[in-house]
Order: sequence, then C-alpha cells, then structure tokens
Amino acid sequence: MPHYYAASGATIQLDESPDDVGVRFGREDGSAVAKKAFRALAGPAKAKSRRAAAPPARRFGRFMMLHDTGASAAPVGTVVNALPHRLASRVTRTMPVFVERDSKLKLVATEQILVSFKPRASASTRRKLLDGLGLSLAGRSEFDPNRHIVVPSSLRRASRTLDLANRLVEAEDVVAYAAPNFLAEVRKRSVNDPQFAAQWHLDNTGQNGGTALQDVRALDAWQYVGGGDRSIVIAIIDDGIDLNHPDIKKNLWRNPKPGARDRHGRDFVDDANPYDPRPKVFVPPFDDTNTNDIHGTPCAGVAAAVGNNKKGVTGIAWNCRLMAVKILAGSDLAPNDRIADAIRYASKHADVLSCSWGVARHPDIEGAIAFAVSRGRRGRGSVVCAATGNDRESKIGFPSSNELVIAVGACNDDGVRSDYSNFGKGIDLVAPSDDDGHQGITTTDVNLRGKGYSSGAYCDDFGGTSSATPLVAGIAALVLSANKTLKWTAVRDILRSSADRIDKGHGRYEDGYSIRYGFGRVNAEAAVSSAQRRKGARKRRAGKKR
Amino acid sequence: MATKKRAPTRRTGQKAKPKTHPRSSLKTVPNEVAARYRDGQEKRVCEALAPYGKVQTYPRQRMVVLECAGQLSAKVNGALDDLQAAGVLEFVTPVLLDLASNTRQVLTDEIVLRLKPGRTERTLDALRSEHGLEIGSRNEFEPSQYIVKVPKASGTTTLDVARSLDQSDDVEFASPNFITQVKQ
Repeated sequence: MPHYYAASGATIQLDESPDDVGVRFGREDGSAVAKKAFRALAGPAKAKSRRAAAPPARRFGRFMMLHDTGASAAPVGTVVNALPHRLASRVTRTMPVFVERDSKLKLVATEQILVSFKPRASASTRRKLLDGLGLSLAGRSEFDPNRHIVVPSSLRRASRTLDLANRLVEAEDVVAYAAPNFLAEVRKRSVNDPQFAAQWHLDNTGQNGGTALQDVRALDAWQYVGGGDRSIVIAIIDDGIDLNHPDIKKNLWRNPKPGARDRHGRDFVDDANPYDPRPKVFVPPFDDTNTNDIHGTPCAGVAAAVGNNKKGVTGIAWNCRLMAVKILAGSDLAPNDRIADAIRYASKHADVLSCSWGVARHPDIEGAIAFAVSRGRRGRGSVVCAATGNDRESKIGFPSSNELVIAVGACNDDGVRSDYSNFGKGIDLVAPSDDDGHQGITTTDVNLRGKGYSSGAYCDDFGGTSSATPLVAGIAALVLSANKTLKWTAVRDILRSSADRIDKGHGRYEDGYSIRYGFGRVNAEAAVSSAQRRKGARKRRAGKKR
Repeated sequence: MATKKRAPTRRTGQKAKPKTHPRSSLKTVPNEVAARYRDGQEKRVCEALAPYGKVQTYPRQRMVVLECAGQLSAKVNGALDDLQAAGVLEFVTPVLLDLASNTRQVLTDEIVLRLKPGRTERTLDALRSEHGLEIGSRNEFEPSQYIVKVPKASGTTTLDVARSLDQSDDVEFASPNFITQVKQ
C-alpha cells in the first residue's frame, strides 16, 4: 500500500518494507536494553565492522530496526523470535519501516510528528488544531520556538502518524510544515573513485594487513561537509603540481582577478616563467625526489585530488581547490627569500598552506609565517601546516617548530608512530602515512610517462611526514568548509582537541599531550562536527543578542 | 644557539638592544666550497673543478658547489683563485652546516634586511653607504624589507656584514639570504 508525506510542497512517496520492523524499548532503561539486544543479534564482530552487509539489526538509542524475512507481516513474532525472551519482553512498541522510493533509504515511523506552526498562528488556534486531531505537545525545538514535537493521545498503529501529519499539512493557515519524526537511515557518503579501496588512510577496513578503523574517519567527516567547500583553497608549497593531471585539474585554484597572469599559482624559482608552477625539471633516475620535481603532485593529491569522479583516487578535501606554489626545481636548494615570499604569496590567496619540507630557521621565513597567520583570510589567518621531518630524531624541524605552525608527524596503518617520524616538543598532531613494513599512501603522481614515483598517473608508495602534512591541511580545509568564520587559532584548537589519543600504552600522554603524538591522530569527523557546533553556538548567541 | 654580544652601533654609539630572534649555529663544511659564475661560464667552471671532486651546478642561482673527498686542498684553492682572477667567478664562499637542522647553507652575496617600523629610505641609504652595500629589490609583500648585496662577497664577508647590520637600532633583522637545503 503506497504512503506519502509532504516536504516543501512535494510529495514523498513511501512503500512499506515487508522485511523490516522497528522496535522501541521501554523509556526507563530502553537504551541499555536495546544495546544488549543489538549485541545479541549483531555479535561483537559485526557491531564493530562498518561494512557489515545487510545487518540484521541497527540501533539508535532505545530504538532498533530489525531485518528479517516477512518481518512486517508478524512484527511481534519477529521480535520475539529474534531476541532472547528476557529482552523481547521489554519491547514496548513495534513500528513499520518505510522505504523512500527515490533514495531507497529506510524510515522507521515513530509515533512522533514534527510540526512547525506559522509564527502568526495564535496559541489557541494551534491548540484547537491539535485537539481536533487528538494530538498533544511532547516537546519544543531548542532552536526554533515554532517547531514542536506532537504525539497522538492514542495510537493503534504507528503508520497512522503519516495520516495525522498529512492532516496537519492541510491546515495551511496554521502549519508551515508537518512530517513524521522518522528514525531515518543515513547512507554514509562514499566516493566512486576506483582506487579508493586502497586509500586506507581515509577508510581503514583492515585491508592489506592494516588495522581496521586506524584512519582519519574521512567517510564520517564527508557526511557533514562532503568534499568541502569550493571556495576553500589549499596551497601546496613544494616543487610544483602537475596542472594537467586528470585527477587534479578540475580542482585547481583559478585566480578570480580578470587578466591575472598567476592563474593557478606562482613559480618562485623560475624568473623567466614565474606564472607556470608545474614540475619542470626531470633528471634520471626519475624517481629521485632531490633531482626531480615529483614531490608536490602526490602532496596535492592527498589534500584535494578530485573525488567522486570515477577516476583514480580522492583527496580528503576532494571538492576544495589547490594552488601550486613552487619553491624548488630539480634540486634540494632554494634561497631563503624565495621560500619566504612563496609563503606570503600563498597566504594572500589560500586558506590553508601545506609545507611538506624542512629548512634551517631563518628570520625571513619566520616573518613570512607571521604574515600568513596575521594577514591571510582577511585577518582571520591562513592555517599553516608543516612536516616535523623524517630524520628519526626526537626534535622537530623548522618551520614545524614555529609556534604559529601546526606541526604534523606520521603514524602507520596500525595506529602507531612511524619509526622515521620526528617527534618532540612542539609537535601538534600525527596523521596516517607509511612506515617500515606497512602500507604506503595511494595518491596522484606526475602524469608524465616514466617520470615520478611510478610509471603511471598514481603511486601507492608515497609517505613520510610529507604525506601526513597535506592530509592535515585537507582536514583543516574541511573544518573551514564547515565554518568559514573560524580564526586560524580556532582551527588549530579544534584539530588538537578532536584528535584521537592513539597508542595510549606507549604514547606517554600527560594531560592529553604526548611528546610522540602531540594531541594525537587527527580525526576529520570530530574536527568537522566540532566546527559546525561552534557555528551553531555562535548563531544562538547572535540570536539571543537580537 | 649562539648568544649575541651587545655591541655599540657605529651610527649612534648607543648600545644596541638585544634582538629577540635567536641565531643559528653554523659550521663550515670542510670538504665543500661554493662559487657563483658569470653568465655563460658554467661549462668552464665545471671542467676546471671536476678533477678535484663532485661538482653540482645550480644554474638558476648561477652557483656551483664542489664536494671533495677530503678537506679542501691548496690545489683546489689555487684553481678557484685562477678562475676568479680570470673573471669567470664572481665570488667564492664556504658551504655552512646549520647545526640545529643539519642542513647545508650556501652563502651568497645577498642579505635579507628589514628596517624597523617608521624608518625611511634615508635610513637605508645611510646603511648602504656605511656598509658599502648595493641595494637590490624591495620585497613585494613587506615594504620595509629589502635584498641588499655585498659587492665583495668572497669568504664569510656576507655573514660578517649581516651580523653587523643586525646590530643596528634601525634594523628589525638582517640575515644572509642563504641558498638553503630543503629536506623533502
């Protein structure tokens, strides 16, 4: 039997699922009982796995959704059969599960209805409408005084909530919208890039011997902000980016200034051609970082390779923009003033600066970093991320040691510090990368035949703190995508406070800080949700002032 | 980190305030030397220095770095003197090691100089004549910052001049514009 509800004037068509049933446990200890029931049905292994296909049970608070053949035909019998008797007896209601026709997402109809009254509707008019339909108020929104939760005084079948919601919608003069407060299935947003399965740093399922969940929780972060906001720009300050790479080209920053010659960035090495910041120097052997311009392209891919384009790999911030700022060309030497000016230039246009390199401390570079955090993003400060270094030392290199910089070390696919990763006073975070005997990072490579770390357009062995740094830079871009008003210090605070304290046994954390891991491994999901919460809090404060 | 001595400035005779930015400790790399060649002389320099060790060229900087197996010999110094006398080389400088970062720093003839707020081009002109400098480019992003050049840059002259400038009350900082090793 077809069902429907209304949303923004459109009719959302639903079909009742024959094989699913919703279950609610008692109010007092419902959540704990539901948890036990969920464990009894799913088992600890499946409960832990993110990829369990067609799980028999899913839980939210004191609600559960059970999947069983013919479940809707005899819901009570299904529950009693599926659950141990002591738990089944705690079930207080069974509810139908609907499937939305377009998205095929499942919706459990609870007895609650969300109704938003029009501001002009008086209290007596509202009450009259609710009384007429046998509804009573059960709660009011914290954020919108006109939005209420209403429940039927008596309810024989939960699908009746659909009818009641639709009856409310018909009262156009009083009601802005009304719809059942479904317990809605959320489909985690993934990407369709063919090599995504190898990108364990984004979604570690335990592939190739790694440990499941030892990643940056990219899939969860993308639920909030997708691949990030197009207006957020990440500058890769390195030896150039392959501007024609099929998995990068679409995400290149384009100078909005009409007629600007620096269309995608600047080359601070080549005075003869300063507006072409692509890799230019290649000398055999073509995979030697010190003599070839092959380092910036993999860094760029980790941060913001184009995602969801059915090609190659994805970056963590796959919808943000990349700016190429070139400071090296075919050698490991660069003048201090050029490095410093590259940082200053990048901060004029970019929100986040990624520096996968280390140099000797120099006042001009220190001055440039101060410039970036004070003048970048119209005074909110560009976020500067830098690698701690790969020297197996217990001190971190410059510029990561600068207090205005987010210092990034590396950890492996088991969630342990990479052996080579410099650590020590001043380290802020670690991010997944390669290690001896562990998986490398799959990312973009210069797309020139025979040149780069591999023979093709992608490599699977990138690593070092060089790879960890653009991963953090990309996550900083996602944080800014969630909340553009944050100052650079707030971004740093969010990344620190939301990090996962990994390797607690050997990490020697004191007050949440470890000399080996800083504040822990960066957690994209926690960081982005924290940024969004701050945005909400700010709006609430502004509302109160008004 | 080496501590900086307080020295009277030449212009005012007043004692300079200690600068807040720390100095890096540098050590000469005993088996390496750098030189800047004049336009079109790269091949000649490489040929002249190749018998003494590994020669690396950095064409964009017109620099060459010679790495010998042992310490620099009198023969190497002689060859460099000959090239300089023939007008092939502009200057010969040491390669230094920054002990904190363990990176090589090639000394050139350039110094990054930033004036303190409120100082004018007249101040810069006074520093120029006092230290015998050539004024290079003004920084694109920091208007009070300049690249200044030391005309006779051989040896550690640039380092010495930068240290002297750094002591001035008019100067925010002055530091050699090293060609620095970048660790990727």
